[in-house]
Amino acid sequence: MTDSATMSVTGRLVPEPVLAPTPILELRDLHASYGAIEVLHGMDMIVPAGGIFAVLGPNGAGKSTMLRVVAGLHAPSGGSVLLGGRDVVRARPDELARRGVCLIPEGRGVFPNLTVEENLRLIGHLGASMSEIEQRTYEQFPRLAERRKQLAGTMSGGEQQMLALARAVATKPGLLLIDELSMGLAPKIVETLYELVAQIAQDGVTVVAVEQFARTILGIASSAVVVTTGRIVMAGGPHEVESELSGLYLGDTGA
Amino acid sequence: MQDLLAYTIFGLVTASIYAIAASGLVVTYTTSGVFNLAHGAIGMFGAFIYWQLRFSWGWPAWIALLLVVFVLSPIFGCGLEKALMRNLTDATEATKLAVTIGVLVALVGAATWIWDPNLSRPFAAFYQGNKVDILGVPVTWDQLITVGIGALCAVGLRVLLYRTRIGLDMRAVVDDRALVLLNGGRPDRASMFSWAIGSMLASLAGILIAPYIQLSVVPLTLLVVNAYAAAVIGKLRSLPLTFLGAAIIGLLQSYAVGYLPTSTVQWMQHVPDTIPILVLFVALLVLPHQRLRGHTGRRGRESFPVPTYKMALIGSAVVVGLACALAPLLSTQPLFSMSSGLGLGIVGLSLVPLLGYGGQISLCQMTFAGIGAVVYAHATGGGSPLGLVVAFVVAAAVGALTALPAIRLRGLYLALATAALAEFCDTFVFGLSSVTVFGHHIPLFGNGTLPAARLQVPFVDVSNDRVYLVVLAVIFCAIGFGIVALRRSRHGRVLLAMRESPAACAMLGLRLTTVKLAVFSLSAGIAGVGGALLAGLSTQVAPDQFSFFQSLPLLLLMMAGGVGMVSGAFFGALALGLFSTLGTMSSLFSRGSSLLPGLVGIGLGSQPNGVASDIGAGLSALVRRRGAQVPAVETDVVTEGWDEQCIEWEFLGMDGRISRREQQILDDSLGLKVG
Amino acid sequence: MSALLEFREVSVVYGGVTAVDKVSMSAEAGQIHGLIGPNGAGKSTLFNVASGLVQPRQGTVLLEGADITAMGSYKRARLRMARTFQQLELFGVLSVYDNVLTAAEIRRSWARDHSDSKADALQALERTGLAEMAQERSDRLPTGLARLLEVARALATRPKVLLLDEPAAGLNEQETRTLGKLLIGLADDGLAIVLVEHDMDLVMQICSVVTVLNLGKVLLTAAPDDVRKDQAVLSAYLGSAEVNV
Repeated sequence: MTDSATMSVTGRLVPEPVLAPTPILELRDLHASYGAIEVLHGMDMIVPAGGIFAVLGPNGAGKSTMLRVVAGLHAPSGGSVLLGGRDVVRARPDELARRGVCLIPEGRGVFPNLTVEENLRLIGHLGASMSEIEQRTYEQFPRLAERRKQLAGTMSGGEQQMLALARAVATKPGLLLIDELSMGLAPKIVETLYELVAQIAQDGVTVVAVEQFARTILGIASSAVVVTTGRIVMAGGPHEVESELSGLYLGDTGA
Repeated sequence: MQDLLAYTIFGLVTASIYAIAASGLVVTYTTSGVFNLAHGAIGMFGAFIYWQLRFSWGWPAWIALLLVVFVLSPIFGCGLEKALMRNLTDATEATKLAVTIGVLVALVGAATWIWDPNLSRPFAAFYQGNKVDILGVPVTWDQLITVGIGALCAVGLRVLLYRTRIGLDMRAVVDDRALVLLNGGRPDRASMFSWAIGSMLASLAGILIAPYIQLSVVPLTLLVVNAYAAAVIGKLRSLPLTFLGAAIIGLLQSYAVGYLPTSTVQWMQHVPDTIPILVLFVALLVLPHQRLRGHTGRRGRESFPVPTYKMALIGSAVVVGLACALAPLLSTQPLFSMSSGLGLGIVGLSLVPLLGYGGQISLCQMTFAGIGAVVYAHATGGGSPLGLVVAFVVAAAVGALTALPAIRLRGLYLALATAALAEFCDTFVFGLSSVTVFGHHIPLFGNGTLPAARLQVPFVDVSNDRVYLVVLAVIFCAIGFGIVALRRSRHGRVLLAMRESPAACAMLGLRLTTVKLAVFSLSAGIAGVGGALLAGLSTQVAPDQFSFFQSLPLLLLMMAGGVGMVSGAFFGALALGLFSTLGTMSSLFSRGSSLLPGLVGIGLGSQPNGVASDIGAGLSALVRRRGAQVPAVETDVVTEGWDEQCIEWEFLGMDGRISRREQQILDDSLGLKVG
Repeated sequence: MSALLEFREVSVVYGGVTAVDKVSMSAEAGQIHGLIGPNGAGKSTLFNVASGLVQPRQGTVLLEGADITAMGSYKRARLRMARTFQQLELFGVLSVYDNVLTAAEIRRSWARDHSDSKADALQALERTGLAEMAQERSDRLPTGLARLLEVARALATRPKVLLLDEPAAGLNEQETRTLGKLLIGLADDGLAIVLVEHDMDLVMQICSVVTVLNLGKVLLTAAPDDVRKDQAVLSAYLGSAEVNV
């Protein structure tokens, strides 16, 4: 069987743009709870390698929890998470990170009291050389080059998210998980950020993005799912999903 | 002018030592989140080991120094982190502090056990006798070396944190622990490294300061309170501010020695010693404090059942019965030990409403007890029960007075403020022979010890020690009963509510200040009564009976007994009595008498509820087993049954599940979203 | 009816970021006022300003016409404002009943009347449907019920103004419906209720007015039906579709 995303000899998740069907990420009947409360009630989801996969749905639906489970931050109470065909439910987050799964958590992707440069330097955990990282990053994100000596926390919200993206990209991830990149940002800035995300995806990184700005993300997504109350209620192409959106967010008829 | 220069130089020497100690505290606290109250004890231990190598075995100074500072201390720090501190992330502030106090007390116990405190140990400074002349002021080499090492530490820490990889990791962990984990980093390694650095700096400070004060265990250990002041000025975060704080304290202290009339005005004698403590107190008070906000800190794992009057009656009967049965049997020494254990147990009871119900940490209960003892000794000629009332009232008033400024502090800062108060009383107030307030002359300890009459009870011969044990037991039970009644009343519920959520209480219209003030005075009053009864036991009062250090084992044993329950205080009392009895049996035990409470305190990390609730749960389980079926406790189903699926990953080295500690950090900082 | 609670041009700044920007809104007696908006819009911050946990940089907060902007939290509560917390702030070690009883007792201590705290507590439990689990320890409740308990505890202080922060999160449909009925009943009793909630069906059904916040600013204050039709609101929730790839 040929995998479209396989574990290479070194164990890193490497995307291989081939035709075969094994998805880069697959959730099978995933259950997760916090204490006695179940948040994910059996979630099935298939993310093909390549492209941007949008996860939509109202607050509290369990989207963030799903990402946390995938990144190894939260142990599921049932079901499995397959990365390139292998079950990873017991893997530690730092090990998953070293193997190419990168999560940008909601609203806190940077170290505010470290400079831009130091934020990038921290990636050294993953074995990349610093000069290479810096060179590549500043090429791709020229705005950050201007601010390399500045504390990350003093930059604007958009620039901070840009740094978070840059750091994520520099780890050369196979699978990039993004949680609410747009949180608290003005629409113009969100658009710029998602242009960057689209570029990252074009370079061969599979992106799973949880996003409340549904229209924005659907403009660049290759497929999408809608999650409500811990279950996937709709899956399909971006256009199919978009037509159903307003009802999902602002409620059905007011009867 | 010459004088000024000389005092400045000496001030800088002290400042360097404080700076070294305080920067170690700050590095450890910011990186690992545990404020190490045992920092001074580590320094003390380091100094003793250095003495052993250098002066007892005659090793060359530099080998001894390198071995202690660069080998033994980091190993000890790493061990401490791995064995204890790593598991404390989800503990309450009180438990964290208790564990470090446990380490402190255990180290003190171990040191007095190994090195007989009755021998004098000369501790020569580096290159003793060598001097240079700076602008006409003779300066010893040792002083120059100390200032040099201080400067070196400042530069070294700066380089470490800003120029090295591990330093970057440490700063990243301070910033956002969860994100480090998500980046593939290991926050635990940074924590461990910070403990190693902290221990090194502590030892270094201990070795440098030892020539200036005598090499004795407790003073060396508690000298770190002076470093707390510098660390608090640095808001426990900023190293440059910490160094600045150390400079201020060192210089102030040195100028006070030089320019205050300490030798001519008798009460001024100890004022210079109190300066760092006063600075600490002031810094705590003027520091911008956190506004009350929702979701402050972690909810504790500690939980205690609501006591019933029936249980309180049975318990009282058991305690009094035990006292009656033991009183005729025990010989003089064990009888005294058990009696003093019970007396201390009454002081310990004061922690039940304060810490157990209200969640307020206090490290100065023995100080309140001391105030009660002094008042009792002076107020009653013949041991009238009225003396207890006066002791209660005065101690409560002092408690309220000290709580008033400290009331807006919480958790760690409150603990530090109470430690400062206790140290202030030790070094200054208890050393005075009398104080004059608004023209009223109030005698204190006079010239060391103070005679105190024993409590007179009608129809009973209290001069008999055996009878006094029973009297103590009855009073213990009476106070315990009052505390049970408090817990069952609306005031008890309010205290628990305040501990659980101050923000919610405020939003229900509760004025937190009033409640805190009330519980502080009540607690101080009870401690005062305990002190008065202890004074009556030995019929004399000495200040060292009520020192800061005495509060620590008491706190530990009360927490180990279960500070949320009256029965916990009884177990604490029993343990204190037993440990002290052991102490009278062999001189070896008596020297290491604080080792046992220390070890008990260390154990609190894994068992924060204390034994009383466990015993209680065990008993009630026994009762229930005979009756109805006990419903099964919910088990952790998350991990079971996953092993087979993980085999492939284990080959790739991905077998380690995320630890509970890491999970806690992540849940905390990522914001647990349930919905 | 006049406004019981009123925000006038309130701004809150956190370390250079304006979380709430000149927000004005008012809650009237007998009304349920919905407060909605995407994540990070500033809803909870506004609640914290109302309850005194956050000081606004600018603007005033009025309770029954009196300026309470600088007043301590406990004094506001004594002017009969109560709130619930999104991140639960229950008295975990106390039972459900004791949580509510403590609230009623605290109220009696500052109101200095001779009301029966136990009766108040029981009434609050019955209204919220929690009477059955009165003896349960509150930290063992599932979140949905724990949120209801927050409501019950607030009710036990007999408030005039009630601020609810996502009370329906974690409730099932049946429970949500019960909550909706309860809130309507409370409004009929004359309470002014401000409701932050993500369950739009609930908001649209029970609120008489809805204010939409976005990026710290008021986007719109209107009747529920008008809010639903508003294009600006829709883009606030869904974003724009103008990413150039």
